[in-house]
Amino acid sequence: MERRVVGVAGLAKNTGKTTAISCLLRELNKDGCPLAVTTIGYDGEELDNVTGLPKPRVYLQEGNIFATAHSCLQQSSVKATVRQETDIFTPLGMVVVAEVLGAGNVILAGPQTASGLKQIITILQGMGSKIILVDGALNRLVPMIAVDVLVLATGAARNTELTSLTKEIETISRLFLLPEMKGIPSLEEEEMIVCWDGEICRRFNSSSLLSREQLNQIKDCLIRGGKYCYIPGAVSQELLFQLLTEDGLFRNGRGIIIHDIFRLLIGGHLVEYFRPGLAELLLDRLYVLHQVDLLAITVNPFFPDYRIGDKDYQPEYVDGDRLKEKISAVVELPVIDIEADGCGKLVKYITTMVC
Amino acid sequence: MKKAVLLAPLDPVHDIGLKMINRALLERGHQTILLPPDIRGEEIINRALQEDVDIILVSRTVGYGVAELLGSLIDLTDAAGLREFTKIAIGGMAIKPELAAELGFDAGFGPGTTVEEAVAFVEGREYLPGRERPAKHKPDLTAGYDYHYFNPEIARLLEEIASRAINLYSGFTSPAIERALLREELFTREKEGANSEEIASIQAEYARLCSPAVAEYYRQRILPAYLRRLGQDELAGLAGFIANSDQGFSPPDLKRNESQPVIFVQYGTGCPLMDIAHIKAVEAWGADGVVHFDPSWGARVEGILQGPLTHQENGSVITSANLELIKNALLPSTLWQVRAHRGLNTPETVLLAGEAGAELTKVNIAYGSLAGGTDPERLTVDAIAALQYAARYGLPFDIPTNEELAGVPAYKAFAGMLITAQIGLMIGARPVLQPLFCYSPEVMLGGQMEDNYLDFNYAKVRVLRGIISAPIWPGAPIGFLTHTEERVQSAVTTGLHAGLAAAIGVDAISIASSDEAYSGGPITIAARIDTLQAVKENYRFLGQASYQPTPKAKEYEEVLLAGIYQVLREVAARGDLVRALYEGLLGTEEDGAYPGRNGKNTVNKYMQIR
Repeated sequence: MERRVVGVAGLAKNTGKTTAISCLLRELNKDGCPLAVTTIGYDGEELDNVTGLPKPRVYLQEGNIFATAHSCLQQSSVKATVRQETDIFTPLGMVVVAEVLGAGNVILAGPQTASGLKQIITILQGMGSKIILVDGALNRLVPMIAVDVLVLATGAARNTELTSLTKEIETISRLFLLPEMKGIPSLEEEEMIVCWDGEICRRFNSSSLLSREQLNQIKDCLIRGGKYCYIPGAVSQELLFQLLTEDGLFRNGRGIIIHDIFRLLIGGHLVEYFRPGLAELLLDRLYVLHQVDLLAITVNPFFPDYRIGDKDYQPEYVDGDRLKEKISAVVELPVIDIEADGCGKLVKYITTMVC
Repeated sequence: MKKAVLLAPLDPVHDIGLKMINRALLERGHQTILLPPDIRGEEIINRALQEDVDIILVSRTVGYGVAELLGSLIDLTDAAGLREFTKIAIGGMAIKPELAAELGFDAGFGPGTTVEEAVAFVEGREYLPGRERPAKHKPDLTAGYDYHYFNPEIARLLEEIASRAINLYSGFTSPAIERALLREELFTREKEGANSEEIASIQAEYARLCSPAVAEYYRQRILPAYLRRLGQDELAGLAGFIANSDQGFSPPDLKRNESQPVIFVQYGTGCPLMDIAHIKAVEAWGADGVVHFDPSWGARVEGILQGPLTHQENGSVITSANLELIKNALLPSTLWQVRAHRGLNTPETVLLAGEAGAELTKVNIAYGSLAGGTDPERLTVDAIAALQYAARYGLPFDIPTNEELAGVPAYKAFAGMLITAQIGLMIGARPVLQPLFCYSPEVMLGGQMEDNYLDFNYAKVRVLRGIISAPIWPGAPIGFLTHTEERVQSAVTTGLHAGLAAAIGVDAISIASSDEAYSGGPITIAARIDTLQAVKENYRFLGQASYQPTPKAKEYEEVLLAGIYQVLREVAARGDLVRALYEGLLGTEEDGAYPGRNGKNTVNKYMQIR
């Protein structure tokens, strides 16, 4: 199956997502690949909304397709024509799909939810885009379930303490290896927590594991013979750990299925996953319904440093070479500093997928 | 449809915004759940799922690091399946729509957000600022006043003076009156579809009554060097500008209650297009009316030019076309005044104002002839004609005691104002009294404002209220000569004088921007907004409360009344208003009043030819 949708998500603000997207656009446009781009947040502005520091611009060429809020078209220097309106709205108005008629910078404000992004991707694919780039926003991850492959951006803006940062990305990259639960088509459409023992034997009245009541229901499911418990919605890190660390529940290959890896990376503290032995427990007892293909890690040595005296932010940098070296040592993926190395390697991976 | 709304303040404090929104939602019948502050994201999501809410409103102060917290919350809502059925909005300091989009919310509400805006989001309505306000109406400043005199002796004196003035001078004519008649004829013939030869003939006759610079225009279409005609491309952009400015906009009302004074702002940049930009800005910031300021040289020149003209110095030239441009730009609720209180064109100016659709004009015989540079005889004759036009077009006219600024004591200026008012009443027009709230030479020397600005101003208004039932509209602007070049100070003193005006209970005020109050240079929109906001805050501060003047106010009031009496007796005894003006009864040279020379010996002592 052709894999066309490339998402660049980050673990924090200012980790280099848009820099990666901008580089990919530049290089892929040179190859003449029909491209489309959107975001799950707000990108392409000149100055950062929070720090006030300069941001990388998003430059599009003639023929590129993009999805953005209609009001952002007027702020963009690109000449474009609207190809399709949608029923997706952002705080900046309705999302439209447009085609570039004259090259220029663009401000992007795209669909913010997983379902919204899926809808936009369908439209962009229908317009003939071979590669669709999806820029992430802040540390938001859930909508990225709609992409085919993911680039994860991290860097000093996430944590300037490189040892901790490295440990985090190591753990996360391992979590992406959680086994995919295949062969249970009946779970695909489930919106509520279900107990499965070859077929669905119980359906609960909530979608997420967020309360003690729901925790007890899941425990009950596993005790009474259910082989797996599928949680389609959100998962409380604390409650999940409580569940997974109860040995008595997981005899005979029982397990918990969550929808995707992103459910583990939101809402809690990633540092908790570093607990000795916990990652192994997760890999043994936890499954995902949809695995996400992690293509590469990008690293950004930049971080905004808040100066109390001046009451503003100034750009600062950690040692980029050391950052890259430390992370490369712990992940079995390409680790790229876009500013220093360019995105040639990424482009090669992407184009071998499609163009 | 009523909604179920979950309100979650994420800050440990600063939840007042959500509490206010909660109250408004409950008042509208929506079901709300207001969580206590500082609850974890998972608990919020769980509660939202349990209660099956339609909307989640979150408040949080945003700083670096907090953005990720909010991003995680949004991810949780998406993961939990809430985003399909529940809208979620974020409010707080530093929130802008762009940041809300980056965070993944459906809407963002930052500083300045009204409760109504948040409620509109909950109810799924489009929020258009200004549209939810009740429509502003155009007040009649003279409504509720019957011009009854409470002081019979003053009434008697005024009637005597005014009757004699009208009897003596209403049968006279002047070049201004003749031009006004020709202008009327021009209007009539144009409406009847007269051909160009007939129009040219009337214009040629008009030109014979004009100063050379104006006559040159009518003969050879040559404009004075400091004027030019606006180009077609300039005018073409105007319609679009006005349409964009107004687009369904409902202007704010700065008054907290109906008893607070109507607010007028002066304009007169020289360029009608720039004037319109200023007018749209002040309308948007709450001005109720605007006053046209024409160039000072217009008072010394016989004749009024034609066409859309821009002037390279202060003051916007009065022409029929310029007035039409301005009128077409005004919101339906904006009052508009065109002044005719001095100079050699007063009757024609009022005629043009009436034809253009102005609501108000300005006429003052005493000021115009003692400090405005116009010959007293000429101005008296012209003013009577001007007031006849004011009566015909139903234009109330205010009478500014601007001679106070020259040094004429208030009691003399008030006497002159009352005389002009009575003349107007007898002709059928409706006067509006305009004492000044100013730090005049009189008080500089006399010390009436040494301690405070309240007492003497209170005295001025009270003495007038005790004489006649008439609207009072202090100008021009209020607080004149209390401003400095410092912008904040200027706005503050204007605001305080506005509060004073509200406390005293006058009907309208004219305010100046902090730039123009000090006459320091070009007038900026920002400075205009400063003073309108200052007025708004003073109105807000005061509400229906009042100030308490000291007993000095009563003393000043009595002195004023005694002075007015004395002057009116002297003028009545003189038997001739014009002679009284020349002889200084309404202001001497020592006071700072000088009978004007413009138009001297131009009054035709025979009956009007037409």
